[in-house]
Formats: sequence, C-alpha cells, structure tokens
Amino acid sequence: MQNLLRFIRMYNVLIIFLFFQGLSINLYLNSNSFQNSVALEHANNYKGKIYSLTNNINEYFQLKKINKQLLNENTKLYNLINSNNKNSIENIKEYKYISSKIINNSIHKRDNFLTINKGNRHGVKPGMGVICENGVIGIIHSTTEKFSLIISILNKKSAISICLKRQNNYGSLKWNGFNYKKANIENIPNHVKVEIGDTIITNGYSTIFPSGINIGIVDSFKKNSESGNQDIIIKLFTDFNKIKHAYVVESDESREQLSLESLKDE
Amino acid sequence: MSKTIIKYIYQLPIFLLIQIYVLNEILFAAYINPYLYLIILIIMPIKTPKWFLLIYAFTFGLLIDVFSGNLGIHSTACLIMVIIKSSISKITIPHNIIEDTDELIMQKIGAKSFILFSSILIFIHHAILFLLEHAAFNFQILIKIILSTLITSIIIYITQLFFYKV
Repeated sequence: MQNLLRFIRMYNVLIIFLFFQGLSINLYLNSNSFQNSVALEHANNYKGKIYSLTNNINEYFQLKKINKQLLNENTKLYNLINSNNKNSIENIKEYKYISSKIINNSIHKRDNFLTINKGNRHGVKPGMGVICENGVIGIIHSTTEKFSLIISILNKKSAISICLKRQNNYGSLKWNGFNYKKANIENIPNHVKVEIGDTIITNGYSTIFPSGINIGIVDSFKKNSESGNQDIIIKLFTDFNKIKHAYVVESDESREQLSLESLKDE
Repeated sequence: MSKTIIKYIYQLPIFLLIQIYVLNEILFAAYINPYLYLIILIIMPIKTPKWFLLIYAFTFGLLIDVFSGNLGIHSTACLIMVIIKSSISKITIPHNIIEDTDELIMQKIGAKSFILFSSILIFIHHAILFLLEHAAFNFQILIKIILSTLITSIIIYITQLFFYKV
C-alpha cells in the first residue's frame, strides 16, 4: 500500500497527464459520430442562445446588404410563380420552405457545421435539406426545441447527389477540406464531355432537395485513367462566409417516396 | 503561487471569448485561423504546478472544442503542448535570467529565445491539431500547419507586448 502511494506521489504528473489525454482522445474518437456526444447536444442549446445574442448586434450593421438580397430573391420568386404553372410534369414533388436565420457558421475547419434559429417547434426535422438564395447549404443534422444544426457541404461526411445541367450526368459533391469557395465532384466518367463554366445543379432523385437548385460552376477538370472518373473542381455559388439566411426544404411527398422505395428492400 | 493561479483562472474566460467571438471569425487566405489562446499556456511561469497546468490546459482545450463543434481535438493538442513545455524551455531559455514566478515574455527572456520557444510550441500544437482534425497527412496539410504557425506566432508576439510591466 505504501509503495503504491509512493508511486502515485512520484508520478502524479504523468498520471494526471495520461488520465486527461485518455479522456480527450476518447472524446475525439467518440465524437466522430457527432450525435452520440451528449455533451454537445446540451451545449448546443446554450451555444444557440449565446450566438443569437451576438448575432443580433452583428445583423444591425448589415441591414442594407440583407435588404438587397431579399429584393433579389423576391424578384426571383415572382418569376417562379409565373413559370410554375407551365411545366406541371416536371414539378411532381411539392416543397414547402421554412425561412430561418443563420446564427453560427464556420468555414475553416475540416468538418463545418451551421446553426439556425428554427427547430422542432417550427417543424424542422433531421434529414431535411437547407438552401439559400444562391444555392445549397447542407442537410439538417439534429434539432433541439428552438435551434437546429446543419451539416454544411463543407464537411467530410456530406455527399450531395448532383447532376450536370447540360449533360444530365449524375455525380456526387465532396469537399476536400481547404478552400471554402471550391468543392470536388466525383463519379463523373471520363467519356462525359465537361467544359469549364458548366453549371452543376441538384438532381431530383434525392428526396432532400428539389431538382434544379444551383450549386456551382466547373472551375477545372482532369481525366483520371486510374479510376475512370474525372477529377472535377467546381466553384460554389454559395459564399459560405457571407450567408445570413437559409431556407429549410420540407416535402411531404418525399416521405411518401421514401416509404415506397423502402418496400423493395424488404 | 496561488495568486498567479487565481489570476490565470480570471484570464480564462477573457481569452475564451476573444477566441470564440473574434478570432474564429477571422480567416487568412480562406482557411487559416489564428489561435491566440495558446499565449496563456505559453507564458505561464516555469514553476507553475504541473497538475494545475495540465488541468488548465485540458479545461481550456475542451471549452474551445465545445464551441467549435469537434470534441477532443484542442484538448489533446493543448495537453501534449503543455507536457513538453518544460523540456522545450530547458533547451531554449537561459534559466539564470528568470525568477520562478516570472511570466515567459519577451521582456524577461529576450526576443530570440521567446520567438524560438513559442514557435516550437505553436508548431507542435498546430501539427497535432490539424492532423487530428483532418485525420490524414499530405502536402496541403503541411502547408496549412506551417502557415498557421506563422500567423498564430505573429499574433502572439504582438499580444505579449501587453503583458509588459514598466
């Protein structure tokens, strides 16, 4: 017993170090499945409150810019109303939008998340898509009563299915973790003719986003003979550094589509 | 010594708020984020009790982690930085010129040894931080580590001027 006490007294620094190091590595490994970390779930609520406070002040200085954005969007929406009635085959799914304010945002990390000020209470549920006036932002990850957390497309885990507007080929959008203005496209085969400046849009197959939402334009591409797929780098339309408002996309028919498609697995 | 411990506990929320609300919003070249909060761990006197230093570093790292969404990254990096701090200080700082309770600032230990001392610590911290965050290693990450070290170092050199006592 005495030896044990002496041992502890001699190596107390090492023991404290190993204890905390083990704790933090454990946290690091477990927080990979983000939702599991209970601490973060709780912290999220408080964080939301704090960030919405500072955001109130911030927002005041950008009223002019936001006004302009809203005006632009209004005109866009008016145009949509006019064109909507014509192509009734294309718009099979109907979508509802929940407008929200972004209260926390990051772009410099490997895994970026955003927080918005709408939650369970307003009908936001995990798995819904989030867009802004310029393009896609991400997918709802988890929600609390008043706030929800979005996995932005600037995240290692996000993969959004896209298509080339001109050629109608499908691929997926990934982010390699460095520049928030650019992202990569995977799974476009070598034989597809891609040109610089081609527009990339969401495809309507996924139940998360409506089809035809702009994502970005092709910045550069390279044929890769090893994988048989091209390495395409695109420039995102959404400037993640500046976004202030977001729209959560909600669709009842999506749920119906999902439940129908899940039948085939049984 | 307990006086200094209380002083550092006071300073924790100040640096935490600066880091979260000011510096996390600043980006150089689109992905470089300065981490000023390291200064408080770097300038702590050599004779600070080790247990306090470790608990402090862990708490600080964890708080930064919670606010940036990825648990365990900053706390791991901070703990490793703190545990090797004493051995780095033995190599870089001439020991006869400082007292036990002196903060390790440029005024006390000289510009050359401060720059060397803090740069090594910041580099180690950033290397661990970004390797854990990206869970990969390639040329781009190396560039990110080096550039971030440079910018954090510059900001820390400037900030430690405020710690001067006339």
